[in-house]
Amino acid sequence: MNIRFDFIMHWVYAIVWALLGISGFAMVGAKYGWLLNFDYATADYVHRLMAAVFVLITFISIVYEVYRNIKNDKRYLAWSVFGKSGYQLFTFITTLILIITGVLIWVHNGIGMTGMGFALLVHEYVSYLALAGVIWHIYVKCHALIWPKKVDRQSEQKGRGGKADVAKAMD
Amino acid sequence: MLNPKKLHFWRLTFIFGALTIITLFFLWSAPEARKAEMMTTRMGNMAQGMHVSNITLYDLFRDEEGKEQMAQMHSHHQAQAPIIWNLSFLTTGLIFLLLPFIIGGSIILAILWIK
Repeated sequence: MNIRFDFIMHWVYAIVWALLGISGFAMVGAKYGWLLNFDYATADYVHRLMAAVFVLITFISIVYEVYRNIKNDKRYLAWSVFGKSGYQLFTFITTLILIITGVLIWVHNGIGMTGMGFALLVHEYVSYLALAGVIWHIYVKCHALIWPKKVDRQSEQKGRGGKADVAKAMD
Repeated sequence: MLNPKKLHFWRLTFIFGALTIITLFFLWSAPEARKAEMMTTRMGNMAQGMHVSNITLYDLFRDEEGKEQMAQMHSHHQAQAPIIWNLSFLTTGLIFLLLPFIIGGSIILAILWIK
């Protein structure tokens, strides 16, 4: 079985993002509080805990991309979270904005109410943008929802096969 | 017309839509559920109305009167169970330790990608 690093990172990122999204939107206001039965305290704890995991996987993904660039690895990784173009670049930019504004909200004591209000506003609106991006991403890449067929041994040995090839076959 | 290749997306949309409707239905019909106030306000709206309307860049960096209020909020968050306090310490430590590397790595990536 050939499970790639970018494939694992993609789905860890997706699960953490989903948990952050649910807990975050539940805290946005009473309008979306029903997402977690108006339990804002649980939403707060889940959001903070997942934020730390999110920062950690962002760090790992950035280190991996820098390493690949230094090694002059030009291969296109279909499952990579960050990249220099398209949706990967969009994810990279929104992730950075969300992390930086999130940290500003985290250190609310140091930036005052104006700073926190500004950070909250940006954090919330960028979240909507990122959510719209995720829905679009799922629509475009919905072939990933198909369970992969067993690939023949020869192509497996060459390190190919999996969702990226299913996508190519469908196009 | 519906693209047959995108059928999986619409299936997923249907599942999420059904889950949302079921959740809303059970919350709506639960008599013990608390009635949510300020249904039309969102965190961003409130922040905008209370703190971010008519601000200048200078306001973002100056010391302001709300310090006391912020300190009160901070001390309120300190009075928590040990596990919560430890988790808070760990997560805060992790985030502030990794943030400089994330910003630095992003700058390096931006340079490498533009090159």
